[in-house]
Amino acid sequence: MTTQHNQAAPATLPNLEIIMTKNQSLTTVAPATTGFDLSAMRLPANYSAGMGVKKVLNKVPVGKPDKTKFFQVAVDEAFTFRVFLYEDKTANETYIVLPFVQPLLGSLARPAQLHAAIDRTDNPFLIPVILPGEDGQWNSWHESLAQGVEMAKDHWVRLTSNKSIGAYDVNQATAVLPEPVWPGATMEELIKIAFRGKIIDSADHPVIRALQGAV
Amino acid sequence: MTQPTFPNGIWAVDFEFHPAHGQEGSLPIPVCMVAQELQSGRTLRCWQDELAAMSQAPFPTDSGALFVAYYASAEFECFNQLGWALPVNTLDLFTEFRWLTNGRQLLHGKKLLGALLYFGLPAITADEKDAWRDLVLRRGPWTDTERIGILDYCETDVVALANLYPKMAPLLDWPRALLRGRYMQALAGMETNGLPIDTDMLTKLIQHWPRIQNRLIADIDAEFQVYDGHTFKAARFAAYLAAQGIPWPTLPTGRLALDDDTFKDMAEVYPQLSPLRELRSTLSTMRSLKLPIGVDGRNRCMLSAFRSTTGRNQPSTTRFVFGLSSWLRGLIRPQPGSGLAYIDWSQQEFGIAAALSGDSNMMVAYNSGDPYLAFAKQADAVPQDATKHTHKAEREQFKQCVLAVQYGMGAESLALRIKQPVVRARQLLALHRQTYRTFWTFSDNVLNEAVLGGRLWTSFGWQIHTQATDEIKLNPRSLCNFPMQANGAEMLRLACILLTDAGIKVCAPVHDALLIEAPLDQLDAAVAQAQALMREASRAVLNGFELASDAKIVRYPDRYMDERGTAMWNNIMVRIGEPPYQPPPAA
Repeated sequence: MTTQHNQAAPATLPNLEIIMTKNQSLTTVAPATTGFDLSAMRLPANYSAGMGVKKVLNKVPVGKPDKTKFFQVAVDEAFTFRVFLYEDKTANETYIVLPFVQPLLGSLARPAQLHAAIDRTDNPFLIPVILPGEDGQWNSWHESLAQGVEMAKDHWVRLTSNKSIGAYDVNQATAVLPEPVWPGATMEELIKIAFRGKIIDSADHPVIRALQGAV
Repeated sequence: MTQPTFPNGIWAVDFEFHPAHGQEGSLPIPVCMVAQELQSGRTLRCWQDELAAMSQAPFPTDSGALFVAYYASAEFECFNQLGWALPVNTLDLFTEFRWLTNGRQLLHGKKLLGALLYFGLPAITADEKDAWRDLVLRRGPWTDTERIGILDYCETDVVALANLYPKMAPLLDWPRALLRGRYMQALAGMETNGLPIDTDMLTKLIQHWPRIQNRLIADIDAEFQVYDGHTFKAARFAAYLAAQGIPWPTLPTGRLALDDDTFKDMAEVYPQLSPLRELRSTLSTMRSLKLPIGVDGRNRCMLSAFRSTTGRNQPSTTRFVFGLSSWLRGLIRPQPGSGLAYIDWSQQEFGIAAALSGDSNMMVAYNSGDPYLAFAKQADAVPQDATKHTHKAEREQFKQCVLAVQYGMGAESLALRIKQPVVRARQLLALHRQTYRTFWTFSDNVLNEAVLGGRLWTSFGWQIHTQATDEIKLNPRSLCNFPMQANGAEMLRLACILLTDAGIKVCAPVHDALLIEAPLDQLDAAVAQAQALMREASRAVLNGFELASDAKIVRYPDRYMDERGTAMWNNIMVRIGEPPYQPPPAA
């Protein structure tokens, strides 16, 4: 290690403070160029690209869409499914009833078509459309719901109840709105999530036993 | 990237200096310098007379050498004073210590002492440092013994750098570390330039303040009756709010939130509160006014680079004129023959969010020149031929929605700001999500990265560590906004480098803006050049996406004025017998 000491100042040197304050307008003497290859130094903003994070679909509501919500319905037939449904209005829950136990519920288990739908924030849900009864008669509410669902295959629509005519009004968005982004789930997966724990699949299912007054 | 080699040496350097005439805000007078080459151990100790006789640094500063310092702008200000060419390669161990530890809890702070202790290295005590600093600030004359003592003290900091460098060097992000070092040169240029202040007006203001203060309180408080002498009484204010039926945010303790941000938000909703907010802010500012102004009438202070977690500068709010109440910015006035220009990127955060997320709708909105109206059109809330004149109210709502997303505001806060029901605010926020889906996916990914990866970064490598601990709680709102804020800071730093390289006199960075100065006959050209370079900086940070900028020009004898402060400025001017501010006629 070599050290070069320069401590003593000759007495004849000019007053540095005066020199410096005279030079206050000195401009910065910068290196000639920035000198960096900026394009090579730039890092990508690909946050969580290697993280393997994906959004898990863990809830799929079932029911008629809220009157304030615009929705679309999947066009593909693979995203419809015919079932028997039992609606527990007290608990506000809907159950799938497997065909072999349907006779135990009688008219409480109604045939319905499930349609995969999606709202404007890309949340999927299932719309059950109750089908006509054996007599071919179709409740005007159900019929208008079916019409709304058909229209929602091509447009963003919103349903509102019109009690004076006993049917839903179908409101179609006039704006050119962005298309929805569907989750990559199959209809089977959507149904499994939507009806998790809500499938009546045996004669001694608690719902049936309750309806029979057995509990 | 691996650590580069420097065949012409790695030089750790420290200066001791004091402000000219002992007046804070004046340019630094170098007292001595110690430099040590870290591989050979060769040490240079130079006293001020020797420094003044040198036309360049007494060690290599070319592309083959590395200059190492801790908060290097102080050293570069001395370089500027000595007329020395600045080094090509700078490694600032302060910026790199901040980079290494940003987001982590530091037991011993961010200064050199803290960095040494962080790495388990020996350090002299803060008390010892203060004693030597005081001796330097005495401005001499010094005895021979004192000179040796000051040089020895200066050398202790160089030895500290020599110890710190090998600990830190292997941990650094090398190409980008040198870019941060380069910024410290630009910062030194700005700290050297400072801001021109109307010192006559400041003197008058200070002289008259005791008298003005009493009258100002009396006049403004006549409406509110919340002051007792110079003291704001929270209980009286609560009574005023109750009488006026104004709901006011409270703290968890149940007391009224009386911070300036709350006052600012509430004054927007209840404009009748604006004079009271201005009064409180003014009294607070004037109580702690410590504006350092040099003998040449310029406000100079440490701009505190990289102090905030986003990497932004964070100068003192009492020492930097832009940190004071907005009306006091009227003290900024170009010197005869000169002009100033305040240039800021237009809707910088929106533009950065668009570019980084790659949201094409957002990019289209930014490029329209009016992203707020474009958002309203994209959401089909206004006709495609709407203008800001035909749909002023709608545009304002969509503007506030964009700002609410940037600030991480909820529906309730947005509703308050736009004076609409909460349901309307919810609709607007939902429209933002629907219109800018790619941006929202990006935002979710930012949070995933922060939580799972433990780190976020910018285009040029500024980073924040995001591991939650018992002491550090993560704030999802701040984390999601980090890329916008921190890349904005990156853009500003790059612009400072480009402008100073181009010979433009930059007086100060102000959040996302730059204040430049030029002779009147060169001002327009300087502004055009600065705006071109700011566009270049945005392209560099945003991979080709360009942000526009707006320039506000002030020509002597006009003064700078922030429109938010004009009313208070004029109020004060009347009281001290000065003419009110007259905006210059539009060009």
